[in-house]
Amino acid sequence: MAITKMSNSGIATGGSTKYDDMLAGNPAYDPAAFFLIQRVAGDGSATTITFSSIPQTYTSLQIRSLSRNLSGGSGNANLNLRFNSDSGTNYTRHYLRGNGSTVDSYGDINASVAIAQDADLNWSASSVLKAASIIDIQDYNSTSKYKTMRCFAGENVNDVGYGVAVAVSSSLWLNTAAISTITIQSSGGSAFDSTSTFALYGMVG
Amino acid sequence: MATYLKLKSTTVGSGGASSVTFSSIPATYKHLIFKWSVRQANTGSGVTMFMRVNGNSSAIYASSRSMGYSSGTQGYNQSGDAEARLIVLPGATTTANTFGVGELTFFDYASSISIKKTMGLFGTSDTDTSLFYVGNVGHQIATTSAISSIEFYLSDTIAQYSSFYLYGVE
Repeated sequence: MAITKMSNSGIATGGSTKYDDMLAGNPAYDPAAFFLIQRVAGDGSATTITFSSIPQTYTSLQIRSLSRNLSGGSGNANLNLRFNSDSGTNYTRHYLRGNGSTVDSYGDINASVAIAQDADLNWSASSVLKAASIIDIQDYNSTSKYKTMRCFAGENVNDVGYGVAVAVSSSLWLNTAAISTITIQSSGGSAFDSTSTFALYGMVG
Repeated sequence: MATYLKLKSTTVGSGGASSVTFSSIPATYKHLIFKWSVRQANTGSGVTMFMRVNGNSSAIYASSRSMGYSSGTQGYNQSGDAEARLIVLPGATTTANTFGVGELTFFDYASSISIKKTMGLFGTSDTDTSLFYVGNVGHQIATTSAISSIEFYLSDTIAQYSSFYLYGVE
């Protein structure tokens, strides 16, 4: 028999509260749009951070990193990224950067890695200093688009001339394949220190 | 309770679109975040995307931008405009399948006291270095009305597969 009318008039109270809505005093459920997929830390010896088997259920990816490499030098460094292990010259890169006294820009094509400009740090003097970055890859699972990556990064070691920069960079991967693997290396090829962290998030759209 | 929620999204279909509008935006969040991956059809390269809120075409928009491109760096400021200028995107004459991406945050978009501020980043890459654009952008929109609709458009048709996403932040 079909239900044509509902009423709460017959519900036994017994000290309970009667509600006129289905939430019964509970907060409404708001589905989140921002999810942690995987977090990876450096270990002091590995030169590559890899996110593999990336779920294809989101609309965009975001990587948030705090990074320092163990080259033992002193200066700015970048993060190099590859998608789906593609080591061909299928990437174009460019950036806009300020270092406290000057502003510059740069671009190139036919590169073998994408670049997150100034998202890594060579700094042997202190292990607590890191470069910070947020990398976004919109529509990473589209098979109709080449993939454009965007990064906002900064580093400041309270010095001038070295380890000081804020940069916006962008890279294009000339491939319409969905991204399922991302590998990250320091631009100098050195290992990441054990307190470097890389977190991959998925966003629903 | 989630603090970062998807509100609306659109992917442009076959034939393109003249504009994309997010309307009936709820006023229950603190900030809005807009993300895009966009290309212009039919004409042009290095094209600008424009924006209006609440259907308002009065001279209430000021746009600032710093940008790196093929020939160096550029600062830009435009006030008393009838539309906000966002970013530089690829057009029909640039490499196929390339789309410009970016993100813009609307702060206190539902306030009835503050004029509205935005801040964002963008990047557009190509196989031709003369068509590289990367930078940041900000706007002041001289209205104390809550933002309930946002329209985005280009000088020509928005290309198929262009995507727009709107999120609310509590």
